[in-house]
Amino acid sequence: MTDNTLITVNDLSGFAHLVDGGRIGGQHIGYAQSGAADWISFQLANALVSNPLNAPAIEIMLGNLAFVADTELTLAIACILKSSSQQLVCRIDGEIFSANQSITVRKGQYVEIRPKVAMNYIYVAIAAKLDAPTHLESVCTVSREQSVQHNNMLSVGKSITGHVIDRPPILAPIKDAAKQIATLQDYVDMESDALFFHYCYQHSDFSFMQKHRFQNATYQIGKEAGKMGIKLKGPLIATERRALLSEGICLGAIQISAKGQPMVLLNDRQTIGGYPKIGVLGSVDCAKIAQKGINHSVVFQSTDVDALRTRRLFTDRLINAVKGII
Amino acid sequence: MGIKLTFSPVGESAIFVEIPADYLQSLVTRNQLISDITRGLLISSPEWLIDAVPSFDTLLVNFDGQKIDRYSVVSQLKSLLTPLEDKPLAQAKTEQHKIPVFFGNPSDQHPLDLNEITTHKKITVDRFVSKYCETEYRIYAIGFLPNFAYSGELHVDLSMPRLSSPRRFVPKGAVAIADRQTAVYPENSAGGWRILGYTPSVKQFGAAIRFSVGDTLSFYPISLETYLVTIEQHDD
Repeated sequence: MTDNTLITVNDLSGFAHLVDGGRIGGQHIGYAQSGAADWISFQLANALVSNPLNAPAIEIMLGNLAFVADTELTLAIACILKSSSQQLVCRIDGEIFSANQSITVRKGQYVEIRPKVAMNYIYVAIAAKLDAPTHLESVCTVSREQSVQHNNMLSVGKSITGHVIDRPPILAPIKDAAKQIATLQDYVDMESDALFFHYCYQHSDFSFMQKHRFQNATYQIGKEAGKMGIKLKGPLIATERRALLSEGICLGAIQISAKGQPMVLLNDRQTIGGYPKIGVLGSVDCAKIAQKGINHSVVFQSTDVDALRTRRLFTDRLINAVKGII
Repeated sequence: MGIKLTFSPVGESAIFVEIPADYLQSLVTRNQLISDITRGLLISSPEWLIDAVPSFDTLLVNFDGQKIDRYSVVSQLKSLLTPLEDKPLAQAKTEQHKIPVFFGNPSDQHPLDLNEITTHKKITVDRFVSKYCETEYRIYAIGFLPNFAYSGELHVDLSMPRLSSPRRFVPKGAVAIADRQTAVYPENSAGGWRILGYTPSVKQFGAAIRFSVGDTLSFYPISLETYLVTIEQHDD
């Protein structure tokens, strides 16, 4: 391994920081779970450079990032959306290359990531062990938690340091990995409106008619959307439930506000809360809704919790298959 | 008689543990049972455990779905209960926290609801403060923010619902109430609880974890002068 400054940020719009698979063991004392919002694209980026799937990587939110490589690096820029092949423009010293593949960059080369349209989340993984401060075994930063002293946000002029992992050059034919990624893209179907969930928590406090309305309505992503959660615009859902003692909120919980507005809670959600919840999205669908822009439509389709798990395990298998090829 | 609990899946990798409504009536007892189960779980620390999130009378158990399925998680959680049936865990060491509060707003940047509350309740500020300070509050849950301690129960005469829409900014150190709960905001935050005053000891809450479920909080009034002097000392 070689100690190094790996990259230095030259241009940034929007927001970028380091993320990983999230924190372990902090929710009972009030720390959010955090972690990559679109965990599928994030793990794909790591798979493409043969990193552990939850290794720290850069998460770019709604913006562009450009940096100079301070040493020779292997990296991957990933976004599982099918539109990324057209919309996500990546350049090395001005020369265009495709996302969702591993690329070797020489020292001093200039890497630009500039989506043509706003993309919620893009990930950059580097074949290196990044040198970044951690809290609860994680590099993640949650903006509202001011007591966490470390800050892994990127800004112009800031460098990422770490140890480049000396690995044999990646020789896998690109077309083999591309075929596997296409299978993954088809399976998770990020572009479709359908989100799978299962009824749980206080679902029995919602009448048959209210559930029918929830499942048959089309909702739009509201303006208040981020890693904490996404408020949805559409038909209001009524419940008779008035008082609820605050309780633990899991990833993907669909809570209904006092006014009846649904909100999906994501990685940076608060740990406990007192609004009734009608159900929970599958983790694949959490990644999917996280990638949807303001005003995009979504519809909720109920399924069995074991079907959600199967979907997750199969997605894991497809990501591991990419890693296996690399 | 065994311990009665229900276990329900919430999402593909979490189990929600509840105490049925007809079992254990007192909130303190229910909270104690949840606290014991959580402690037992954290001590046994199974390799599949990602996190346990206890609250007033429920427990959320997040597990690694690649290592275990939900049926096995429930089975293992049930086995944790068996020793608790015979012999509850030894009481965890709890602390009593005494918190100084200036019942007022130290500056225009510090919002306050105390006067509105007392007007609504038709009670003097002095009487309200005295009644609020005479109760020792149990910490039922930690959440919302690190070290935000949901504590209760507030005397029913002092209880007020949350604001109809939350404030975008509540300064750290705000001492606030919502329904029959009270808490100190450990950090600047948005929030919908009604603010009674401010504690100067906030640095103690923000910088390090101090509160635990089962600890108690009690509050005592201080003057504006004491508040300002203490804040200044903490800033040194």
